[in-house]
Amino acid sequence: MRYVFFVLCALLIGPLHAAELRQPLPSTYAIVDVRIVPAPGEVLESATIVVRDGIIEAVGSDIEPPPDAALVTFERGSENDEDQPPITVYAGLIDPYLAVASDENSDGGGNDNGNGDDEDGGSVPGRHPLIRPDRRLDPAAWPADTVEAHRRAGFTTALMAPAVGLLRGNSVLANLGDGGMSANLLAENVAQHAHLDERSPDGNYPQSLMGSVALFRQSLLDAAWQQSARNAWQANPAQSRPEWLAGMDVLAPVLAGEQPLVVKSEDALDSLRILDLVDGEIDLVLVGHGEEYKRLDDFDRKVPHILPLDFPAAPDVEAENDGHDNRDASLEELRHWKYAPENPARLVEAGFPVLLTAHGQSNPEDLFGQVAKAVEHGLDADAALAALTTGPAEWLGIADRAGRIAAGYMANLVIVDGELFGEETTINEVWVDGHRFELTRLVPPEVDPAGTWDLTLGLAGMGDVDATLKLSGEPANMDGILVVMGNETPLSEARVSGKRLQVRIDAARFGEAGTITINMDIDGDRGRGNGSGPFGEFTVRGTRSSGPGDEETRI
Amino acid sequence: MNIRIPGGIANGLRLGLALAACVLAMSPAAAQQFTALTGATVHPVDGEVIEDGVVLIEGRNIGAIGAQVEIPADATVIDLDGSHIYPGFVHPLSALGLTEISSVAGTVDNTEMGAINAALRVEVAFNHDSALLPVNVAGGILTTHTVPSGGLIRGRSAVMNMEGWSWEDMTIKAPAGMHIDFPAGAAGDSENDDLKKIESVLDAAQDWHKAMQAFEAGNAPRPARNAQLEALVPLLEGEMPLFLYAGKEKEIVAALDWAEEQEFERVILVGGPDLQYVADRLAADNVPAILNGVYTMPTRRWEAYDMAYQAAGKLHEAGVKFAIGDGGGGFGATNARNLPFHAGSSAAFGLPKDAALKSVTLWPAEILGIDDQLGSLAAGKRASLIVTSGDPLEVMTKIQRVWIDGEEYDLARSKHRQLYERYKGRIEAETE
Amino acid sequence: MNRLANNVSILLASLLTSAALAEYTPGVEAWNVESAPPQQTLVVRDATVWTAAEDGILEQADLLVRDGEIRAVGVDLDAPGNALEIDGAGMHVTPGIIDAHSHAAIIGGVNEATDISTAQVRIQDVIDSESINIYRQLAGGVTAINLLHGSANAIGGQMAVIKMRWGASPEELIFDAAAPGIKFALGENPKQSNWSNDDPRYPQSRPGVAQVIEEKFEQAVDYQRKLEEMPQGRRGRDAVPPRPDLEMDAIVEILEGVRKIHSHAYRADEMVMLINIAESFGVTIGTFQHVLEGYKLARRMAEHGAGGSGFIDWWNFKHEASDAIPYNPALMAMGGVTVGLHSDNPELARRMNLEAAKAVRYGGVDEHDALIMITANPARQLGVGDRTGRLERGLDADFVIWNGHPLSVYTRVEQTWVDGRRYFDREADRAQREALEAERRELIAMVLEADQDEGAPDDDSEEETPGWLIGYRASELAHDEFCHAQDFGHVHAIDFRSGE
Repeated sequence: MRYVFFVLCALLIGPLHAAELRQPLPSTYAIVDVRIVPAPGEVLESATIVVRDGIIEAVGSDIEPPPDAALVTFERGSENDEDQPPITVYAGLIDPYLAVASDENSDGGGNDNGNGDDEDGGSVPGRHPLIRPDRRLDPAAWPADTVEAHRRAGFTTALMAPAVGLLRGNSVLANLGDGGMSANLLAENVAQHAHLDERSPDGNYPQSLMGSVALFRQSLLDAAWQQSARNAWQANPAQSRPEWLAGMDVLAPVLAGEQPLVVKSEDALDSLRILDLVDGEIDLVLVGHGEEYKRLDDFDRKVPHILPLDFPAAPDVEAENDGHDNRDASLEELRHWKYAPENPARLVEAGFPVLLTAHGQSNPEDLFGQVAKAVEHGLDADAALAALTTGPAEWLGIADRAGRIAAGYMANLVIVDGELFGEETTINEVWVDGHRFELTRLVPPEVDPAGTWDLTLGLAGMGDVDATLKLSGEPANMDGILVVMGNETPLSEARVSGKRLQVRIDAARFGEAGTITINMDIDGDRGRGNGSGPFGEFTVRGTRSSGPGDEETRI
Repeated sequence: MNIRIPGGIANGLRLGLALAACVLAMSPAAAQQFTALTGATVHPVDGEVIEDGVVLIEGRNIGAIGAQVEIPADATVIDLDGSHIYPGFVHPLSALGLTEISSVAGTVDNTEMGAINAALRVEVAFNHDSALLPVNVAGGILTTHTVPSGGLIRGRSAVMNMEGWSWEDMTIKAPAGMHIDFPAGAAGDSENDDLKKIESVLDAAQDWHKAMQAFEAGNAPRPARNAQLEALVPLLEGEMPLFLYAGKEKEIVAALDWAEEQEFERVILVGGPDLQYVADRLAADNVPAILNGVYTMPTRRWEAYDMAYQAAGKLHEAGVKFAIGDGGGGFGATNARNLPFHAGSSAAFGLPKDAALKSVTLWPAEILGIDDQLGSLAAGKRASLIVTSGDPLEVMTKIQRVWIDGEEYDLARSKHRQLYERYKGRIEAETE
Repeated sequence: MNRLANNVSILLASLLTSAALAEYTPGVEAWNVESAPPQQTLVVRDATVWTAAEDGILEQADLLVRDGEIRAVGVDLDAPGNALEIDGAGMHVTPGIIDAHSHAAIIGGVNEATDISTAQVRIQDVIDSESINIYRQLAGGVTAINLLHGSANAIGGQMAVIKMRWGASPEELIFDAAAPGIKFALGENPKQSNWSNDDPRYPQSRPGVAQVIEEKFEQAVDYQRKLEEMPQGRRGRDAVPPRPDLEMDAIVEILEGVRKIHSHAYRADEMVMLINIAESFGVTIGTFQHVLEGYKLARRMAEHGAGGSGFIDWWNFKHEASDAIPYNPALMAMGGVTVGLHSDNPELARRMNLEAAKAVRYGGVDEHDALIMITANPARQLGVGDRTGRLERGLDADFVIWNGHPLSVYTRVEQTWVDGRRYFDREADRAQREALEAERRELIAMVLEADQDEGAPDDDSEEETPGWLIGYRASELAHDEFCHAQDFGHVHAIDFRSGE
């Protein structure tokens, strides 16, 4: 436990924020005397990294920090303490699939007509609400909150993909620093994204899987037709002009195999379905589901997989001696629980290119425990690291600047205690483009927010919403639920840092993709702060109506 | 007739009146009429098979049965050489008489809204001219236990004759039992809201009964009339059985525990194929069961394909008294005629054939408490029987003739036979 | 030398036999089936063989199978030395049962109920190879099923005929010889008598259904003409082609006679209507499905050439089912219609032999002819009559071994073979039960052990199927919800389970 204390000290004397000084900070650093994993399978002990203007200038064991560099040192406990894991620096992780909720995306169709009331373009004549290949991430809707959560888990770069619809739109490759899209964008129009099992939000066609598959098939035909029909009409104007199908032109590079088509698959049979549906000419990439192992022999080509590692929780069984015979414990579920952790290794073994994603984790940091489990079940540890660094860098065309710790690469780093992959990974710092992000969770709690809080959430344009937040446990280990309009939602995370309470809720509970975050500064029984979610930003005011022990005494 | 008499007295009186009505409805001549069915193989079900036997029908009842029966001189003798005689099937749980076309709401009376409907009695809505009745009589279903469905405390069922001119004369036994659905959520949760609701109603009935007794003893004013609570008194007094519905094993076990705790005297458990997992307990506790449908999917996806088909065999092996149903329901009522095949298929998967036959004749009669009148061929029982080309659990077998209460039933009353005859003639004419 | 050869051949034979015995073990999950059972050379000896062909029922007969095909049916057949010998004494052998109306393995909805025509949707895209119904129906002697779109719209989706190759992928399940087909529906369902979309849809009457079908056919004629008018070669390059339309493509196939109509129909009037419209476009209907009042137009159906694929005794569950009678198959057959019986229900499909027995019960159909109604006739209706459905030389070795008379209620399926592969064997199934239960116990023990390491298990993982059933895939309980409208909006499990 002692070394944690020293780490805290290190952080407390860390660099100041530029905003507080209102002037630029020095941007040359030397991270000294650390263990470095410059790339999967490589290790440098007691080494140094020099960062200048956001770029790694040098890395190695025998490097002298430049005279102008601010030294970043990690004071540890006794050097003789063998249990103490070394401070280790990895290349910042790259998430090849970060789904971004719908209204953080603009869509070409909806914006063209210039009025804002046409949500998702559903009513544009000739456009199907599920077919929005021309959708792209709107700079004004930079998902700062998602970015922050991901960064905190050690990700420094992500492919941000639109998350709704059948043909969903183009993704954006960006670093996960502050400063919005303009400060972080690496590449636009990286891939087209799709998902087969969709129902039209307006209740119209399609309302079945076979319908959405047929619509997908028709849309690809339409895109190809549009090219040939327009070309023919250009060449020969003396014929009826073909109708123009909005948004379909952006599919041309996909059809030509020049832009990847990333399809999110739901299960083993969905993967087979996608392979069958998508022509071999198309550069297909699957976002997986974890049960590929069930039908791997039937995959007719070794398409790259972006794998989530949301392994199933153990099925609910009871000890035999309770007189309970577990008759209802499903053999199928039990089997999947057993085999799912082997899935990544099996894919790699079968020769599929595999990338990993934090998609599917309720908290991106949970990924590391799952990676460790996959490694326990046969996945090569270096391959696992590659699947989050060099692998995605290569796929995304940034292997010359990301995915490794090497001179000339972006200074995207993640600094952990010991190994990155494990149940309780401690991430100390994350660097993006040479900017240093300390992790606030290491600030010891100064308040105890346990109890019941009556919250008023002020949503712009929607008025106030009342909610109740019930927190229990110690400040260092809190648990709780949020009650909104009678619906109880468990918190995916609750943490106290200094006087600030931060809770996160999976927005899926409200039918949205992403996370809802509430930040509240606590002063006695009052709190004030803000929050954000897929539906926008909001203000938070709270009053504690009962303390942790009050409830029992009242009854 | 409007005087309300509490409890068992009222029931007894009602039954008495119904029986009297039946007797009165028959002409004196008919009462003494003899019909002798001869030459057939007679299957009494509760006795040895009689080759070339005689069933002597005396009025509405069986007068005698055997290989050697003295046939009165004035008897109508019907030669059934080559055929077989069996008792009619007793359907243990159906919606017959209460439903016609399940998609047309106006014809559906087997379900009621609301959770507590103890006061319902279904016989009052039994449509004696339902098109479903002749069709199912043609399939050998001569008696139906018609039950209410929907809600928690569902109401009171009735055992009905499949033939008659009004529900009053068709009622064999009413009320036959109270029907309660054990809430699925109450397995493992004694605080289940639905279960609490049922318990509070039963408690209220107990209280009401106590107050009524006090009134009858002259010690207290009369409690306010409450038909719902009054209907439950015979259940609490052990005068009326409880049909308790529970599906999966966990629920069946919880239901049995609950019934014990409530101290019901007579419980009949209505369940699915999971009953087989509780068979030993049912046998030990002497709780009869209605296996409500054999043609079902195994309860759990990973279970053996024949899990449901072998349920009856397992119950029999454990010594449970049971009847086989067909799953009931509105849609099921149209095809109540398939009941014997559920029993037959059970015999393909472990149930002895004689037990299979009993599970749709004698045993349901016993469970329903009408085995003094129906369920087997014996002197003194109602002459409700079927004449078949062979084993009546066998699908290929044809049901040739039917007698109900001593009178031959005109099978041409079945709409299906009518349409068959009519269009057969047309096709024959067209193809000539 | 001779002796050595002999020894080798004995050794080989014993190897083959042990391979045959060690073969495939049935399981509850298709993906977990290690590999397809081997295709075997075998002879069933001294059985009662129901050929479903002109030979009728052969007593004390043999069935010889090799390379997935039936090589011979007859008495005292010569069999290769390495053939697996199955003693069929007391057993009956029939062709595999073919169910021409099933929804037992369809993922993500049986109906695309939105538009009045959804001819572009394909069941082939959503076949559930993992559906336990495949294995369970094998255990009832079923070897091929026709997966049909539901009946919510006048022109539904394209069907898929599959063979019950449990363990195979969706693509491998497809019976490639089957004629392309499409579901139509008439009457209460397409006119939304018992259900409704959010916005009520045209049509709401039977004349409207007729009009819509005619309209779609006419549109397809125009579409086809435009395609044909596209200039060829150089001139074609600069001509704007018609926009591809998957819906119209499918309807054009109907008009060309390539794709067969299999129309849900109850009442006589609507069946005559569809025949009338089809004939005006030169189209012959494949089958009427359910065909409840088929007996009222038997001669008209026979003259047109439409088959009848029906329930035998479902009736009165909707108003339009009032005149359904179990004598229908007997009467239609009398009128010259090719009659098949189908399940439309994954539980009922497990005992189609008893549905055939009802054709004997009602109207006195000959027992062998009744068997044909669940084998050779549905095969013909699906365009695979020359591949399966009969026990005749050259046909696929799709057959069932029963422990008694195949139409008897007391009879069980002992073995079911598809393509000369043993996909169901009651003995193997029974042996496997213990292994599966032991595996389950072992996994439970593992969970309990893991719990001690990892803390409490997640309670949310428990997902129970509504109703009385546990752990089923949605597709396994899928049904055409518009078919039994009586229970729309309620849990179907009860009526569904009863199989009625």
